[in-house]
Amino acid sequence: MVSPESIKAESVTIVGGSGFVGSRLVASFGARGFRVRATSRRARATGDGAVEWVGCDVLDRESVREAVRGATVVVSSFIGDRRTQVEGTRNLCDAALAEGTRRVLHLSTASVYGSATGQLDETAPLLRQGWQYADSKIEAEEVCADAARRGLHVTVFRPSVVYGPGSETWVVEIGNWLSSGFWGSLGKLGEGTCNLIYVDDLVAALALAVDAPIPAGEAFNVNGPDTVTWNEFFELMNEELGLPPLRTWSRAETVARAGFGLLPRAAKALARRLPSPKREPAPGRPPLRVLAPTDRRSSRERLVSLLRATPRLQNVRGQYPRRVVYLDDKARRLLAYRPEVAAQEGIRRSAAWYRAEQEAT
Amino acid sequence: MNDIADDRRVIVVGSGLAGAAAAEALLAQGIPVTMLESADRSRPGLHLRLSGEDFFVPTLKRHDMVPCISRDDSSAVWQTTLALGGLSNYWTLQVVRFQADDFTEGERVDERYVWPLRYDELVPYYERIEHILDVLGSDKTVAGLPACRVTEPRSLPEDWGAVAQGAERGGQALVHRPVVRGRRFAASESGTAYNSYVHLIRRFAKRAPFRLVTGAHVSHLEWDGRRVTQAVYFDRGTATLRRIAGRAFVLAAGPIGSPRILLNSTSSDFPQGLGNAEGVLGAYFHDHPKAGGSIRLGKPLSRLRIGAYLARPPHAASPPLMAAACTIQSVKLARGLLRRSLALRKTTGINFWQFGTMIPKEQHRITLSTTERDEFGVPLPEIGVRFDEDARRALATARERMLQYFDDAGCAPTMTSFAQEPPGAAVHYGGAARMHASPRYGMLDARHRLHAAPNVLVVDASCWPTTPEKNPTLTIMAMASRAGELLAGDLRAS
Repeated sequence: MVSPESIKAESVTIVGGSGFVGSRLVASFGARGFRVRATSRRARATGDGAVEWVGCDVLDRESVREAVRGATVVVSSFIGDRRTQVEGTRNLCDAALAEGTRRVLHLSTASVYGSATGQLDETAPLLRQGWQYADSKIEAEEVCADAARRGLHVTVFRPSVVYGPGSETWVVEIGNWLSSGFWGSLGKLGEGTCNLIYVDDLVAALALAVDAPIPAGEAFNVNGPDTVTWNEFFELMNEELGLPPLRTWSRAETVARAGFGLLPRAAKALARRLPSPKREPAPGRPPLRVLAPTDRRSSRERLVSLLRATPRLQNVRGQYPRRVVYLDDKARRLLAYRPEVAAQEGIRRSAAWYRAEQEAT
Repeated sequence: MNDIADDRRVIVVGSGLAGAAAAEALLAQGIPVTMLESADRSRPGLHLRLSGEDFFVPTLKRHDMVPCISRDDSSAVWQTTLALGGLSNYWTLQVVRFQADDFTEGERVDERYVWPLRYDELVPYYERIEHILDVLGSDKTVAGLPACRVTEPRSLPEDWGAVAQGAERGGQALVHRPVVRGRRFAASESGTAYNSYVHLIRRFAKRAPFRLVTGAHVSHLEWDGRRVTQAVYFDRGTATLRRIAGRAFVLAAGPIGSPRILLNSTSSDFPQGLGNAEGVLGAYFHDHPKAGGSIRLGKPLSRLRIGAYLARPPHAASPPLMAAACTIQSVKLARGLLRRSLALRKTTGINFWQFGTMIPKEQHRITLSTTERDEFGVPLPEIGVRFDEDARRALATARERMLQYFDDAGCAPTMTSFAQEPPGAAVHYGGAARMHASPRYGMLDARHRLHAAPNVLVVDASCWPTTPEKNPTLTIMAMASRAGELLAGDLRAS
């Protein structure tokens, strides 16, 4: 056990502290008694005692060096396009090597295993399948492995579906789909496994790795205490949101809906590329907002939610039917990792947050 | 119909590969055999082979399965098929011998993993089975793989030479996959290329004194205090309980079925199952860790019609019971004549699958469910097995080496898909009624007889103390054949 004094001595820099996981890391590491410095591209330097915010662009080597300076532990939880991901990780590793950082915790993803199926542990091969997000994460992991060979103590985490209050991808979007009333249970195509990990469990795993006696360059799968199918995930969320039961779609209906969904998505992608006279194009994707409750929606909002509540074709083909379990035995053994939030409980908390957000709109 | 005197016949339970091989050996020695098969005489489909090419006609009927309950691991899939001819219905036709070292490597781990049997004792039976099966493949003994007695020697295409040489430098051998050849023209109603009923049992079934009873679901064996006298089975046709007496009982009901029968054969002498004085029955159950995937090559190689086999690295160079072998196959574009007429001689698409070893653990066991029963009231089997990291790492190492050999040959491989199968998926189970010189670690002696009840034999893969990474089919048959012959000798002597 580590004494409270030594924990106090640890100072952590969280690179990418404003996102969903990042903000949770900032809060949680602060609560665990670490001195926390958090960075984001747009943050202006502030220090309110517990957390010190600094602005940092991971593509700018100097600003990374600044952010890392003095930290004993660096967590990389930033996201971005391929260049940001790979170059940013390289800059971060170089800075950590130069500054003598004790440990670097790198947030990767189970997507590095691509479309692989079955029970995958960390020995499974990393597949490049032309999916930019996963491929860039693989490249970033390679940068980490290279840094580990050069003497950096870096640990890689590969969670799959990180969800919880504030998750755009897994709570806001799915909550919007469900509350639109146009979503269903995907039948056979939704029987694949959804490897849920509640955000607090992920944060706990990272916190454990700060002091765990592990060699440099290790990668860890991290998963929740139980696995559910995608249908179960939708159904549990639906139930917790207090919505009427989902109708089960046939295979043909699921595929047809996904095909239909290509249209609004293509239109949206096109619209984002066109120069807009009204506003400056914002960098990255605009944040996803919680839909107002049905009775408070305008007819336009209702139409939009109908158009949006369609599964993505690539997910219907690849993700929802895929039976894959990311085994976290190694994290349990080497990090004494014990996930605590079961799917039902995590979904309950997420749904409660979603409903509170709805009320606030 | 029942013209065989009760005091002479041997009861064989199961019509799969093991039962067929044991029955064949017994009949060859003039011992009368009655075979009990749980499945009905159903015709699951049609299989056609013309000019050596397989044309499958879709299976008409799914095989029935005995439901198995999985403990510990919800994604595990345990399969025991109810089919005349057994699981050979799913067999990829691969036939490899075990090596001499495979029988001894367990000794480096622990006393529990010592085989009471050596490779040399099995050689005549390997040859006998290879003769029956008609094997095609490499006729050269290489590192990691003894050659079968092949009727048609084959080697890999020339442009695969660079890959094979790379493997050889790595201490591994890449050879033409040894498979059962079968006949050039064949039609069978089994729905698959090989079925032990269609291709084996029917060949000698007409010969007296053999009798096959289908729809006979064996529940347990009856112990009279000195020996087993009867097998008790449910007759599916009439839904009645029947008994059949025999001089000896050969269990070949599969690696889950045979332990299940023994566990269900309780008596005042053996409350934990027949011959289970030491609690070893059901323990040490294991399966091959299995993975597979696809590779795209930067440079095309000749299309392999049957496939290649990358044998394991030498025993001396790897930790004991931690190895894996890869089977490599060209991606099939079209079947048969179409493929030939297209004359697509080269391909960049490769599929592979690999099997590894696992160290059998005492806690990995088959037990009988206390709540769930089948339609006849026989408790369902419950299985708990998990693969550990070592087992998976052996697969990963073998995979990386395979990619390295392609890379060294200038083929620039990229892995494009991958699947790591859960326990049960390989369907290469064994170990739950293992042989060991000491009754403390095994149920059977070296002649497959129960230590505690010598007129009962277990001849399927249940009897294996360990399973090397090789396809088990040929060795199951060779060992069953040996067991049958030794039993015939015992019976004639007494």
